[in-house]
Amino acid sequence: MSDPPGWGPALRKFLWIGLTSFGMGRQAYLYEAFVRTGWISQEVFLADYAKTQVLPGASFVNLTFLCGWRIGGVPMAVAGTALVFLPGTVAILAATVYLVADDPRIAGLLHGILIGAVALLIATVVRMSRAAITSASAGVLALASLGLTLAEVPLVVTVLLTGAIGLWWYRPSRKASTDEPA
Amino acid sequence: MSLLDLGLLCLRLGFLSFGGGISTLAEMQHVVVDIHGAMTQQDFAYAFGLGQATPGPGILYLVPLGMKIGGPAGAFVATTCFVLPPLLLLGVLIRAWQRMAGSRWAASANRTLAPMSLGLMAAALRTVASPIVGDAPAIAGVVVATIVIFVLRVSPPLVVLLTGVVWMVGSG
Repeated sequence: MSDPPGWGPALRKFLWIGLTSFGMGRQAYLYEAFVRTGWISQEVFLADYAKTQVLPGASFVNLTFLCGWRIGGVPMAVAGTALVFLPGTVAILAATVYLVADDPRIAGLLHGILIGAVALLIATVVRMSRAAITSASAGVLALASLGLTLAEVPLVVTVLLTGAIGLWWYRPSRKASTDEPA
Repeated sequence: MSLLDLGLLCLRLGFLSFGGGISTLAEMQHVVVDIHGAMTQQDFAYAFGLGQATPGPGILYLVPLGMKIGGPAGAFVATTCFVLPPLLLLGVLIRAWQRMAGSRWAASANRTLAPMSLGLMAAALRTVASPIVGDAPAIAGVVVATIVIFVLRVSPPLVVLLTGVVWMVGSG
């Protein structure tokens, strides 16, 4: 771990992340900015990452907040999170106000962006499935939450039901953990 | 759809989001478009697209969504109600966390939530893609863009902007 950075360099990092982080897996930008520089240890970062995955909310925003907190307490967490929001908020507000779909070219632009976003989501789902589907039971959980959502079962039911099944399957046992549910 | 409805919806979905805000997209669409009719399916999908085409948190799709429903106040209410309460919960729990993180239940939760949020995100695909169903050039565009992401290893957000430009030029 190196010495804690001053406010200026740290806030510039947060603003840069706000400007350059796109798409899924934005957490990698936080890793690059704060772990590679030695401001946060890898161990602490990964533990914080796990928290943001297990607790609800916008996980990238939550991890950004925790990074700021590690570096400079609550004031840095608030300022850093605000700076990560700033560029995108300005850009999307401008896009929302000025990109009116009445103009055929703007309608084309929005339609094209949607087409690209569908491809991005497909790519994300494929990449995530390589990491998340580590066993047959994980595949069943993924198919269950997919199927229940497509059947328009209320989300709270889907989350509680698949969550309860998963926690039961993967419950800590006294024996060495097994990969498959009994 | 009133600001109160919007705020309560975002509050609820914020607490049901695991592994990122996109996991609740299908439910968001169902309530905003199907139940309240507050915006068209196409506008909803465009809002998502803009969120992916701009930098920063993906949850920023709530800005155009909120603007459509309640102007600038709607954008503020939607984003704040979604992001802030779970963030405060995290702040409260962080101090008690060391004990919890050491428990083996934390590992159980991790193993459960990864495939669950994968399924939710796969379901979001139907939500987002519904405006282009039956639109052959658009589907061809999705196929080409997906190939470009995987085979040419072009950064996905760059592909989003490129398809936007291609369709803008093509529709001029």
